[in-house]
Amino acid sequence: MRSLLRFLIRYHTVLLFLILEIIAFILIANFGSYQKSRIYKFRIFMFSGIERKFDDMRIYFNLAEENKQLTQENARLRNLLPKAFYNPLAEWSADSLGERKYLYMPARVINNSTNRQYNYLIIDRGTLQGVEPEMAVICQFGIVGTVKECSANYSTVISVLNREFSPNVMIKRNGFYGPLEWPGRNYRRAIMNEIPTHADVEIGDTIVTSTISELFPPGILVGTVKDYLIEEGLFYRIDVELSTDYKKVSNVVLVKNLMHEEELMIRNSIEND
Amino acid sequence: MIKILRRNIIRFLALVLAQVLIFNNIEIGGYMIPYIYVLFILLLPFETPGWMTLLLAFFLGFLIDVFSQSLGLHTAATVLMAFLRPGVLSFFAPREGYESGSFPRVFYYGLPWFLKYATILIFVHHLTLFYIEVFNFHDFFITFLRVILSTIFSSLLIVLSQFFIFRK
Repeated sequence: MRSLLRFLIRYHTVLLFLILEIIAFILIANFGSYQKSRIYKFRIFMFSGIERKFDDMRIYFNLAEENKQLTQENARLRNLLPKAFYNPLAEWSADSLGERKYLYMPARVINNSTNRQYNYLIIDRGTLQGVEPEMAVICQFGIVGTVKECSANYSTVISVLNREFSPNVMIKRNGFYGPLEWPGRNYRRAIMNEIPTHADVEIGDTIVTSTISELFPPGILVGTVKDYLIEEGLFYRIDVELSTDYKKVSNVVLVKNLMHEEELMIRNSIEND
Repeated sequence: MIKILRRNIIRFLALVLAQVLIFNNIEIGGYMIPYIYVLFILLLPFETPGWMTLLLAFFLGFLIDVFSQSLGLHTAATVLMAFLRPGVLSFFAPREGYESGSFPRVFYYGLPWFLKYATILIFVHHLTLFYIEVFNFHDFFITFLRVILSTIFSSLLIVLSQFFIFRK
């Protein structure tokens, strides 16, 4: 007993060190994907006020730029209205027969990171406002990510700048599609894989979300082809310059796919065969 | 004593805020990310007992983790660094030992001493941090490059802070 006590006293720093490291690694293991953590909710409870204040300040400085972008966005949307076209059949083609598929909802980013390997954003909308996991998040420049987890008034968004996240994207001009991956270095660049070498790829081609993407509505801007090379003779490895500057994302739009469950059911029925 | 305590508490809060609000947003080319909050551990008085350094490191890392959504990551790295600090200090000790009433700073022991002491501990911290974050050895050399460049960047900022902010 006494020798045990002496041992404890002699090596108390080493023991304390080991205990603290074990706690740290348990934290990493349990909250590695960090969403389930109650501490995270505690953080939102305690600090979202401070972060909001700080963010308000940042938004204030970006106001002029933001206004310009919103005006541009408005103009672009007005151009898409049926009113903007001369069409004698307008009355017939008005979309009253088709069912609405997507619902858009604005949200504000209150926390964001770009310098880690697994980046997340936090937005100020949650289950009370109708946010659900797996909803797509976009902004006026292009895609941002998908909702990962929601609390009552806040949600975490898994960003494109996250090595676990790979949305399906396609080359707009010819429709070849493949997964987009972020190698974890430059926050403006991502890699697009699995494009067969017979596809015609050119520098400057637009990359958009693909028609088979489970999460995103098709045709949302992702970026442009910056460079490409042939990997192992079969596939292109395309260097994509992302259109969204993740360092200044502050207003985002949540996209709710009203037919998501139906789609999932069909997809699952294939997988179950 | 009270003065030292108060000064350390203020430094703790200031470094956490600076790291979370400013330095977490800085990143150069995806390779250089400064983590300057470790300065708190570096500047603790020589007489701080080992267990206290460890507990402070744990608390500091945990607070940074809570703010940057990476639970456990900074905690593990900072605790390891705090554990190695006494060893590094005694390794670089001058022949007659550290004078009582002095602090581990450029002002007392000169720039070369501080540079050696700080860079080694910052390197250990960054090495642990970046490898635990990636959690694989696939991109071994790229991660290593990130470690080296970030260490240089953090050390530079920390040494500069010794001349401009924590002069004495």
